[in-house]
Amino acid sequence: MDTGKLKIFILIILLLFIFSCTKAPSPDGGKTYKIGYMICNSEQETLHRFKPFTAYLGRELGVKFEMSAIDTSDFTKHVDELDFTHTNSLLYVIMNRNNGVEILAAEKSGSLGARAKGLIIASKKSDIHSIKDLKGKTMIFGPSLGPTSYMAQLDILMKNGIDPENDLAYYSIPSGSFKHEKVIYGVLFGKFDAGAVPLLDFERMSVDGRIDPNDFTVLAEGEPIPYCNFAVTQKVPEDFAKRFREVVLNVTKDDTVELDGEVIKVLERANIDGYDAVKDEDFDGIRDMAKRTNMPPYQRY
Amino acid sequence: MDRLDKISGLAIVIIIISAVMLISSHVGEAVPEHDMRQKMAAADYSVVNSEMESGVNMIRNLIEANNLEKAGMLTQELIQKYPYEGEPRMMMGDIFMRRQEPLRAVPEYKEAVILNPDYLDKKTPLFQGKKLKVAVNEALEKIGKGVSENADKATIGSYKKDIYYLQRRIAGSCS
Amino acid sequence: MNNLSGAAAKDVCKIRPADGALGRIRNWISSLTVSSDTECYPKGLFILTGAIIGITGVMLSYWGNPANTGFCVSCFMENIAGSLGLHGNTRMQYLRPEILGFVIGSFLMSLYKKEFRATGGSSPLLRFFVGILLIIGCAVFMGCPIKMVYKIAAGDLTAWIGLGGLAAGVFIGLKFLERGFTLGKPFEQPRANALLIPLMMVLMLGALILKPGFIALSTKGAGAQYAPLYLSLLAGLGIGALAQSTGFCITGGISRLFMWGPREFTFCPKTTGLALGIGSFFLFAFAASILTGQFSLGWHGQPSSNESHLWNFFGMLIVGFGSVLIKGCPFRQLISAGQGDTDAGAAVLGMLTGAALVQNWGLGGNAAGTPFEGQVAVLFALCALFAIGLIYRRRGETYAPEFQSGLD
Repeated sequence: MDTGKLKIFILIILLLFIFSCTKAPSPDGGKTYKIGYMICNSEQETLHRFKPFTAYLGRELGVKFEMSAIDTSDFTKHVDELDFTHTNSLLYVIMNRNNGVEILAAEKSGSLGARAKGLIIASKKSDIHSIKDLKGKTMIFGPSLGPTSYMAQLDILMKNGIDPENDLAYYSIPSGSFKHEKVIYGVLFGKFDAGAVPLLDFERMSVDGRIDPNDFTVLAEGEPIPYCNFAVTQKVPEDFAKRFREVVLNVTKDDTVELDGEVIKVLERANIDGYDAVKDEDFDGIRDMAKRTNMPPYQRY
Repeated sequence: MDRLDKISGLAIVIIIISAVMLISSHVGEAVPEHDMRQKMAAADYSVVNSEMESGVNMIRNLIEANNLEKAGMLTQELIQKYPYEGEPRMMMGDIFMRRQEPLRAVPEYKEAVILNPDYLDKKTPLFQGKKLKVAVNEALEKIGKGVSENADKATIGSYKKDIYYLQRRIAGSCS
Repeated sequence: MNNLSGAAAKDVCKIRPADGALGRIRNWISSLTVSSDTECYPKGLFILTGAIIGITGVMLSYWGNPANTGFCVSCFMENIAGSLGLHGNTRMQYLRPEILGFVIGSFLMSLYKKEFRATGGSSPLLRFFVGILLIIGCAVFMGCPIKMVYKIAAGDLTAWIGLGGLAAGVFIGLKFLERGFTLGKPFEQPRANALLIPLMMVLMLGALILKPGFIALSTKGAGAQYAPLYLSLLAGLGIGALAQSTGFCITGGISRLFMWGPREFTFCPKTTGLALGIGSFFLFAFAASILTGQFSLGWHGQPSSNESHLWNFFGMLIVGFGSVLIKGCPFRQLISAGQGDTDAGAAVLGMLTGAALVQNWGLGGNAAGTPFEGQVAVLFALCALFAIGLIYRRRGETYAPEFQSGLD
């Protein structure tokens, strides 16, 4: 065979190979994927916020999604039944260690974007001006698995030599829904001397005009850490998880979905500004904090 | 008979002696590979055992409720009752992880994946590879920091052996 | 040998274009590298072959084949043996299109180039037996020489031990060749004999597409990890065709490096080409591994590896030794079988038998190490190869190894 023919043959083989360099067809067509959303304020509120977003994901990815709203404290019991999770950062850290869940994207919301931080607030009317003044006082925290409503504040207190068990008069965690709001109102109306709240909720209530930030003294602020996020459980194929991540990262404020005849802006309804790429290492600060405060998944008994 | 013949003859004699020594050193010994293959075969053809399943569910609930002591005791019972099932071993590993003892979790996870390779097979619903990777990384970190407090060299060596084994299994293989 | 001028090189090397800027550059390179007509072959084709094996292998792993196993003749033979029902490991059953593609690609290319020649009769049964030993050696190391290169390119430091073993085996084999080892001269065979192996591969390809009931296909385990069929097949066909054109062979390349270094030798051309091909294979696989995120430099935790370094060394030593005795590594046997060499066909069938034995007897290495059975098998294989070397020598006669090994 002369070299000319050989070259043509090689060229054909190479061209065939290059043209065939498309992604393998996804075997996900008929499957229904489950997304578990951590209940933020109430089950209804969470489902209302994320129903359009879930429908949008289904449309963009060409698969069916089934959504469920799961209580923060029950989430880890159900994670193995889920394909994707939408939780706070501490739950992600727990599920990453105990269930092999991997991060996809972090939610952007509020003045810190894809980060959030916890505050310890007191009423301006009180005589509390610093963390040290909290000794012997009462305090109200947010849900115990809240990174910016419990863990960050606990960390601040411990760093300042205050052991909530021994140094506070007493402390409490509100029950039921809308816990963060209950904490803020609890401080505002003097039921507790100080409260642990996420900056994001404090900002939202201020913007809504439900509280006046000038009525509060911010005693301390935690480190900015990632907050709510989408993550994927270990059973989901990597290429599908990658596609899911791309859709989530590329969603814009103008993206809409039609649901029950209504055209809805998905981000606006979800009350978020979008999603940012985030790595697992970005959660190391939370891991360190969990170790310092003896919180799961690093709790020692 | 030239030099190559002599060298070849010598090589053959050495190999035969080595083979005899190797075989005689294993005579009467339980062959772990056989055991391993039997265990794997058992995993392939295992039937759903409702008794074990209910035990597993109960232990899972205990683990979630952080009742690790009771969960550990019940898991040990399951391990003795079902020595060829991977799930009790996997749970024992989980319990050690929750006790912040990754070095003790790794041998349990190792045994679990030997008993049931599906734990590292992404094509099966049992896949647990990413969780095991976290455990391996924490165990390596612990070894790296020298946190294996009172462990002697042999114990550390044994930990390392298990960690590297699990690492290789997680990395994958063609066999 | 005198260096030829550019014009003289043009006359000798008719394959090089004389016209245009590219032609002039090539003529100039020829004047520097070509000193005889034995050097007149397209070295670029070897680089291309190596590059394609390197890139496609890494990409096939990326697209679904097991880690570092874009191509692995021994692993894939075990899959095929399982699929045909020769062993019962349900995690190792798949008719790997890459292997089928190698043989069919080589067959088609040899037909196209009118190089398909039915030859054989050079101790086929012995080659069958050595084929078994080759797969045992590969299985202990957990990979054939091609996979060894992928492992090295992906940062697996333990694979260098395998390379050492392979080189040692090739060296020992060459000593036998130099001192009169011969399996007898092959002769012309009826054409139908040579068609058997390619036909078998075509039938298996049909079975892979139609999936008849008697073919077992894994739903989990390594056998269920595969790239899309058409990509694997295309890669196999292309590489089979290129390897037929170039004579690409890892052990053949190492043999020549031992004999003459990377220089060309009058009666055994393609030495430089093979060295370039292997080098290109490694470099492109290395680059592709890095680009696709599959590179991980280290001694521990590598895919398809273990800590039985001594046995891995001996495993690859068997492969190197056996490959030299039967004219090529397992990959080369497939390519030769495709172009009509029925002796290589016997070796291929031996390899298939070896693959079944490895699984049935648990001889292969695993993450825990080399099993006892595997260790015994390695010693047996080594002993057998030395015995074959001794028995098939014509003492007092010294042959140029290139004639004996068929390297030319």
